[in-house]
Amino acid sequence: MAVTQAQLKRSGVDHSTAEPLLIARNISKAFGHVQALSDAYIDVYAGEIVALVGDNGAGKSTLIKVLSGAHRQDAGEIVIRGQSATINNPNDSFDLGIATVYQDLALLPSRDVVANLFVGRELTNRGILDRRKMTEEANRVVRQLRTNLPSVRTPVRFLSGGQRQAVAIARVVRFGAEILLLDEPTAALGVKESHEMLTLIENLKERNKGIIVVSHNLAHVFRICDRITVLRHGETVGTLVKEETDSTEVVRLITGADLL
Amino acid sequence: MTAIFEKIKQPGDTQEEDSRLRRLLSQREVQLLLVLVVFTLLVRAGGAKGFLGPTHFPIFLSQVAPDMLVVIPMAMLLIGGMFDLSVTGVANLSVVLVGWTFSRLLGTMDDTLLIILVVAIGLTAGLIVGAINGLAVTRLRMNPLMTTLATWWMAQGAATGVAGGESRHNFVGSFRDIARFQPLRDLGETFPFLQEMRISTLPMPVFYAAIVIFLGWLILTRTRFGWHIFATGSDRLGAALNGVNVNRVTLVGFIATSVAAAMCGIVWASRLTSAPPNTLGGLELRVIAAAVIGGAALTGGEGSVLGAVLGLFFMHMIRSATIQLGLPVYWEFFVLGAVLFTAVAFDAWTKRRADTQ
Ligand SMILES: Nc1ncnc2c1ncn2[C@@H]1O[C@H](COP(=O)(O)OP(=O)(O)OP(=O)(O)O)[C@@H](O)[C@H]1O
Ligand SMILES: [Mg+2]
Repeated sequence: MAVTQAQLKRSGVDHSTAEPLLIARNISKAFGHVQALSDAYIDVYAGEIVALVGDNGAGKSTLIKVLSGAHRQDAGEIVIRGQSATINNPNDSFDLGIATVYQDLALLPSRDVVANLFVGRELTNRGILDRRKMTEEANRVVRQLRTNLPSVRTPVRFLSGGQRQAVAIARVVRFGAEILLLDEPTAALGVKESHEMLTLIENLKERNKGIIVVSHNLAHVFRICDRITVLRHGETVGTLVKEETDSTEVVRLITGADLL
Repeated sequence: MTAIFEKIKQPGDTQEEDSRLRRLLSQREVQLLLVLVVFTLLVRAGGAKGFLGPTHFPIFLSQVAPDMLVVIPMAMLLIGGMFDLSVTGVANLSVVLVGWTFSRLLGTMDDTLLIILVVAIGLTAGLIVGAINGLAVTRLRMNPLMTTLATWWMAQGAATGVAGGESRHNFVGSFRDIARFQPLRDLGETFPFLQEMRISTLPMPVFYAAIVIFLGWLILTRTRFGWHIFATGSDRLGAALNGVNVNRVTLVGFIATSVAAAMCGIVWASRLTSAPPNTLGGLELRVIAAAVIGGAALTGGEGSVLGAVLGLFFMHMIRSATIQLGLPVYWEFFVLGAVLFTAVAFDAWTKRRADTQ
């Protein structure tokens, strides 16, 4: 289900010589009797946003988690920058330059923003935590995102849904990863915050990141993405270039209704 | 992004000074310290003039020290979202193994060697029970409450079984030094002020406790592993998704707690030069309650070493105040219970208030 070069041209990204940052093909994953993924495919190039859409339970989060190392696929291949990759755990995924914002954010409520930004990737100086440097860098990232937290020492428990989402995104930005996986980044947000989040994601695209965004909101999808990959019952049924399609067609692919 | 990072309302935001004082006063450690000071003054006013005075304080410290060895790793275990009921059983097992080994091997080898062997056996027992607890909870996903209740009983049963109804008294004389040696004694002769302040008479367990407190503080606040403990207790799944090895955090926590409990047992055996299987009682609840009073959350993710230290001080202060004031000791438990109740109620109240803000 790869895209043709002609389609890519029209998506506004010149990939004629480039190879995808990430390809996941023939991915399958079962949880007991539930076949969450059976034949999933997705790819993403640098400097583009691919939307991953599908009904509830279609397997979107599972595919994201396979790529982030939270789950190990039963079968299928992951290729990162042209090289076959094995992702057994979250650290493997980080090391390949993949950073993930999960649907439930995976934040630490009792810990402050600094600790949340650096969890699993703390900075040390001769074995001792470099708390000053982490605080400075946290402030820098928060500023860079044109954000305005009262203090990076505030426990995440006290933040609003939107602020938490921003912390989760800030973490990903800080990693400097090239491949970003965002699972429903606007789901918990109001109209204004959603708008700001989408702008932020577009900014990240400008920085030449390859971004996969899961979303149920087709208006958001059509606003920011270049291509749309549709997952149904764990199977990729197709990838559409935004300029060549509209939401009716996407909905039909999602639900499996006749495409006449 | 300004709206997303919308400013959080904080009380006294406009008045910096006021806000700093409030923040200080909102820290559990500071609150607890104030309570301890007030408590001390009240007890002194109530008639026990020497309470925590220069004569009492060093004795008090050496009484608290064995529990202190255990409360620090227990607090770290709680911060990591777990807890361990088995420490009393482990400590008693260690006591009995010490007595048993002495009674079997006394005279067969060099005394120093024997002492090293005895201590190694005691600590190994702790290591084994800790590893069983940790592996059961992480690999087999067994419930920590039931697992450590079971290993408590097994360890206690093994202790009674090995003891076989005998209290053993065949100890190597110098084994007493583990609990009684006063490392600063000589220093006290050259610096009289150390003697006046009774620092030179502090026995070894106080120094073991000081080392454990320092290590606990260092690990928890200054190392990646410490932050991983907080992360694991704050949200186990979230921490794991971010690459924290949550099972290692839990396993190390259980092992450290059990080894500390074994060390506590060795200190007691040395102090009493006797090894009955019921040397320790109620250790688990004493240290868990102390850690909770000191701000460790039973749900994990919160707490501190200083809080645990102060919490344990409070527990022991209540105990010695009861004695010094000549109150009937039967009431000691009532007071301990009331303090614990108040601490938990206060916790719930601050959480409720924070949630509605
Ligand atoms: N850890 C798990 N254990 C068992 N079943 C799971 C697990 N995770 C997902 N599933 C199942 O796999 C299927 C796909 O779930 P997934 O969360 O990937 O869907 P989704 O497309 O993200 O849905 P949504 O839009 O609701 O987020 C569902 O049937 C779900 O119940
Ligand atoms: Mg999902």
